[in-house]
Amino acid sequence: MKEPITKTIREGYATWRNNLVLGVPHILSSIISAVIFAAIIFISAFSFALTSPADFLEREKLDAASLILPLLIIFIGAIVLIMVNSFFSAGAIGMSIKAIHEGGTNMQDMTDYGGKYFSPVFLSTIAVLIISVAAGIILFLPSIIAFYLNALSFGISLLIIGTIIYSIFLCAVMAGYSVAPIAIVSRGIGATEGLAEGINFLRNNKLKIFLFWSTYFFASQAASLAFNTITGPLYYLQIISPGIWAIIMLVLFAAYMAFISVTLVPIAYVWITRIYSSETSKIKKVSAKPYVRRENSAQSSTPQRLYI
Amino acid sequence: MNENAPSVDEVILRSISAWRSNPVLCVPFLLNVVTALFLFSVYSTFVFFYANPFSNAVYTDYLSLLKSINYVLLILDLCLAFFLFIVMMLASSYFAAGAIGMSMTALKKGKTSLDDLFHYGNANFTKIFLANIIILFLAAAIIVFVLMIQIFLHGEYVSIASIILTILFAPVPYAIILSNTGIREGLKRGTNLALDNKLEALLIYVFTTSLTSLITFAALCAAGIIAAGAVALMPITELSYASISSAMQSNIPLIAAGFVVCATTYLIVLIFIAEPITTLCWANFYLSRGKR
Repeated sequence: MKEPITKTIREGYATWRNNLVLGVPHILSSIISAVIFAAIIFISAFSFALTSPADFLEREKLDAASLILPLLIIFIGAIVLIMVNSFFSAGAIGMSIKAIHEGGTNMQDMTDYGGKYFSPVFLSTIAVLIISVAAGIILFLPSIIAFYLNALSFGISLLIIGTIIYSIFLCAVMAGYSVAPIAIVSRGIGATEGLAEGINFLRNNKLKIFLFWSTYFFASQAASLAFNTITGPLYYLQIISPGIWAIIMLVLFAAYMAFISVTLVPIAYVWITRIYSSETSKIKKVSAKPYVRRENSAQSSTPQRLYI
Repeated sequence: MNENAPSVDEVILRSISAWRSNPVLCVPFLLNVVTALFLFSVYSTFVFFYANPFSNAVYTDYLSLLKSINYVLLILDLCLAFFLFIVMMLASSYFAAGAIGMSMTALKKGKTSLDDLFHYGNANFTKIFLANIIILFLAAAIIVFVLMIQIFLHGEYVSIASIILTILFAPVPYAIILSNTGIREGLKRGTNLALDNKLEALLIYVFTTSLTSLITFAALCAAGIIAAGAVALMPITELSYASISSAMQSNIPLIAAGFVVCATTYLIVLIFIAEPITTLCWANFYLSRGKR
């Protein structure tokens, strides 16, 4: 039995309302990511300052050797960032699964699921990144060759076509990848099976995924509209003293991002997990919940409403 | 709230399948656009060639410009523009009524034809026209009020209010035609439907707007590829502003043709996909949940 999207949205919201702890992995993930990001910038700048001579700006050619260490640090930092995000994303999905099927969850589930499914989620993310970068290289290579051969009109033309195809490709990858981590965590499968399952699921449930993403985008749009409306009167503060206004806006914006990552993001995780569970073989587990069973019996006993 | 009513997914899926089996549903929207373009071109030709208030205009300074305008013709043109607006609204009401009637027939019987367009259009277009005017005035009054707040408080009040008003008044024409009631009852039923099924109405709105923006994105991609083809034909010799602008100036017909092709693609896609599905979704939503 497929679950209607309105029920998914209502029940997903109720699940989040009963388990506010669902927001914890997201807020932890954003805080740790911000710290790591700052550390990457700081350490790479520091290593660059250490290895390159003090007058590097005056020299005509920058020493290539002095760039190796900072680039290596940025690369390692990016890998660490993806690792941290994979851990928390696997944990968040595990918590959503627990909360949906058993009604309650705690921080123990986050570390359990995060530790258990961290590596397949990480590998699938890396695979998707490599695919995206490879596709980008393949799509932009012709235009680079054309520029190199001095055929400028063809170069610009190929660049435009490449950009368009690449943006469509990235949208498709994003839609296909949106279910892969959930498939990995809820079925306990490997990275490649997870990616295949994600694409398969997208192929069979285009409307559901489309509705999910459009609802999510609409909700984030509505949140930003609400934020702009609430901070609207601060416009007068900007005229009086721009400095204080900038500081207050920065604080408010950080608070807004934190608010989004404890409300909208966990709710979206619960929604997509619920959609996946109700559309695949996991349904039986979902039907174990009393409210779904009642809905099932109501559906089977009453005939389809006819339009007259 | 009706628990047994079909869910939003079913409403959307049934609308899409009804659209697939009835391609004729795009005809009212096509006729609407053709009528609007025809009326507008007739009006602009008439004004430009026969009633141009600026025909004797000489621009040396503002005063002489203001003196040289033929004010009788200007007022005549403005009256004609108002008349044109009313006629366009009448035509769009007629075709909207026809489209809603056709959608209802397609959803109930599985098949629809152009007879339904004229039948429902003839029967309902005055009601739809008056309801549209009432909604226009109501919405304009509310938007002006909200705009006052926005001018003082600098928020996004107008966007929020316009989204809410769109969702609130969207089912009204459907209520008038599908329940075959008067304007007051239709307004009441339409807004009540949106208020009683807030999440469902919001989802239908989100789906239809996302579909339209997805189609706009697709049309933009097509336009971009056409533009890329046009660029390949241009003789750009170096990456400088002068070279690119001279190449564009020597290919103005090509660029104009590209624009026409893009606009036509966008309109065709909008007429053939987005608008019929939107109408079918709202009609199906009203049929499945509205009070009759």
